Amino acid sequence: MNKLKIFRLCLITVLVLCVITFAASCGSQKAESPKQEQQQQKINFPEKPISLVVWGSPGGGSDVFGRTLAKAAEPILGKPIVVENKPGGGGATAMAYLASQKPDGYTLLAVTTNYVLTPLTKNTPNTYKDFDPIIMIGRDATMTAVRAGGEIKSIEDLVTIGKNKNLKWGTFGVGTTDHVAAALFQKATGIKVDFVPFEGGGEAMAALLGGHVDVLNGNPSEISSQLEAGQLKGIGVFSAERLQDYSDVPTYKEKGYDIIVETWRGIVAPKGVPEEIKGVLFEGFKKALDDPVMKDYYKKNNIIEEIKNGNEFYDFIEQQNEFYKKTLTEMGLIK
Amino acid sequence: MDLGLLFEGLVTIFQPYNFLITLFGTAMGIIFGALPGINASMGVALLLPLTYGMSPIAALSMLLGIYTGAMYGGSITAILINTPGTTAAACTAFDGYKLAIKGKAGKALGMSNIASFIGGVFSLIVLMILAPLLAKVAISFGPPEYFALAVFGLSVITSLAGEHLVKGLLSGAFGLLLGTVGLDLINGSPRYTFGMYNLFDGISFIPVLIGLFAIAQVLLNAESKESIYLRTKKIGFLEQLPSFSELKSVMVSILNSSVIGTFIGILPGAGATIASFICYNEAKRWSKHPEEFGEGSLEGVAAPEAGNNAATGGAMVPLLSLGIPGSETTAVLLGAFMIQGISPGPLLFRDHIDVVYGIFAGLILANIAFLIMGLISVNFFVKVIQIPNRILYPLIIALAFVGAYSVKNSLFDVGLMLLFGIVGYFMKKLEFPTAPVVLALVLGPMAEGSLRRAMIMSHGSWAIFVQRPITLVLLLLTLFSLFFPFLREKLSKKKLSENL
Repeated sequence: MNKLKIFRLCLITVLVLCVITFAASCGSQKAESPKQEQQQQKINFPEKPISLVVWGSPGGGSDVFGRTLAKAAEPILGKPIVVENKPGGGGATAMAYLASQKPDGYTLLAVTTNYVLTPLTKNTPNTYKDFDPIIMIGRDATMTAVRAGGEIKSIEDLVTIGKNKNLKWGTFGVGTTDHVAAALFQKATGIKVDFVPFEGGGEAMAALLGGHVDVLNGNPSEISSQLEAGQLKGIGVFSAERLQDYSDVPTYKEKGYDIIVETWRGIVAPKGVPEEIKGVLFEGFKKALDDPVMKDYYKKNNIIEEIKNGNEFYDFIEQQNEFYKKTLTEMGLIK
Repeated sequence: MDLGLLFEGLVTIFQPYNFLITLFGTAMGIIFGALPGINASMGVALLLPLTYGMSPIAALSMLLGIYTGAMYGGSITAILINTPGTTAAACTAFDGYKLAIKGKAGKALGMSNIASFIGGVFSLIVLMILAPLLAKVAISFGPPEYFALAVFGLSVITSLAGEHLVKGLLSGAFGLLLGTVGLDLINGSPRYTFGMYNLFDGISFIPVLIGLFAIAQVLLNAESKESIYLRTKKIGFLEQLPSFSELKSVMVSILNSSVIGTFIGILPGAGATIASFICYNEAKRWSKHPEEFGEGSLEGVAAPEAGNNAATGGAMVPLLSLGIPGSETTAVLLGAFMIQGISPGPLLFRDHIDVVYGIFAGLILANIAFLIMGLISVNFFVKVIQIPNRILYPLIIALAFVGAYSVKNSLFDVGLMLLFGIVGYFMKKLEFPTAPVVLALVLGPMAEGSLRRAMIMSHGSWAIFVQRPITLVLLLLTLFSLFFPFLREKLSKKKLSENL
């Protein structure tokens, strides 16, 4: 009996001590003035490894991009950058994960246009309003490709042939950027199109090469090897200006169709990251883009470098969100 | 094929660093493959970051070593503990595990190893000689052809079902139903997702596979008092392995499966899992002893294992010659090429022919490596079934958790695995076969997607399935496959009556 009592007493003492220490540590944290805290962070960030979440599976396009970027930014930020894969739900899984993380700048997410497309079309819980953009780092053009030596040789051919018969237009999914671009073109010209959605780029490409579909839109990096080998032919670009490596491919804009659809890339963080930390991250990733490996990656994959800071990027995202909301509603993909 | 270039490739691959790194990759592949949940594509992805500083040939040979090693490795746990390490080995578990219970685990492992080797080498030879030509075959398959192939694959269920045909069909229907979960492929609306974005991409089949096989098996074994993991008698190294006459008797099956596996591997959109199921089915159909299938037939181990390894060589065809990844693993390999600054595709054979032959040489080495490693380790692996149940079961459960989590780094998948563990337990209790669920879950979305794509292409006309020759042939084969058991029965009865 006695022993038990002593044990209980000890236990209570330990508990009370714990509570006191905990309260004290909380109090002392609060006691620091916010200014001091911020200054300290400015000097000390990053103090530990940063994790960069990507929403692609390991080895996929967005994963390789994330890993290349992380490697380039590591020496500049001075701490390891660990790439974490959170695939699934068109990015929804990664966005939900990011939203649950502390806004301390140690968890970041590499995003693409899906950042606005997924919440719009799939009605997922998190939207761009739940996050703080850090930096926009570039954009990929959308190029229309057809089989080389086929009936279709230009944007004009698409229109003339599309007036007479239904074009089979392969897409990489439903409500994806390439699908949106094609739908806007269809609307502008009134041509007849059957959209054939595939899962993933490989199947769509094989279907185009095999003649099962007539045309598709892709990022230059996805179709470059076929373009170079002369198996596919680029006939139009949904950008404001022609691409450096494919200067013979006209833009839709110069043909009188003002349609700009590009895949943009950037980095976002949970909402509420202190301005100083955002600044450190912005400068770090901006410098990382000058890394020769990064420059080479951009050149090889025809990514156009475009840097916007957090605020500019937020405004851009907001404007893109409006654009896609309107277009996707017209396409009947937002209910 | 250029023998001079191949020789140069072999010289490169036998340089100490390249040689060792390929062996390392193969060994890791066997281990990854054996672990439930880590399949070939994840294994390749896990070690992908190591390749940043390597030469293209070293990097790709290591990754291809993982790929081929994992295909064999998947069968190890399938045979020993009825837990396929990869979906492609799900078929191997039927007869492999029965053999293990009978104390012939060594024979099953040896057979799986040798069959994998023959399948792998066969497809490699085809790859080296015919790659550019076969690329045309790969793109000749459009949505209607894929639909027909998926239907043909689904017809395998009738032979997986064994004695309980109706129960097998019900299991298949359950798998098809599970396959409809997720965002609609054509209009993007959510189906059976209950607002959970985790289900948007559908139910991932790795957690289902682990649940239905590993968890259910452990639950079932744990409640039976007697240990079914019999102590194997101490026998010599060579006696563990299949004998020459046993090998000879299944050679036809192995070669058939090598051809089928290579062909299915070539098609982007099909893959090793479908190949192994179809090979199992064909082996059973043409076997002299179809009644042994499902009861512990060496042929039933050899056929799917030859098939899934043959699919690896096949899958390299569209990757190398078109730059199109035909499977999850080749998609990761495409990433590996990109890291090296090389884009696979038509120009690969012109601009980087040395790399191409280096890769061929690496594949030759990897195949030989897993053959030798596999044969040596048979004795060691057989000991796994001698581990006492109280240690083995928790180990399997722990591996199952890790495997299910690591697919997408998602706890949701772990919950899914547990759920299917319970479902699998009751299915086994009620004698519903679980393999048709996995097969239908893999093939269902493929069948649905390609059917709907084909319908868009034809404006709703079903004629598209008879107008295209490949589609028509595949659908006729399906009909033949469905009625073959009846035909055989009739024929044998006829013979019997004639003999009387």
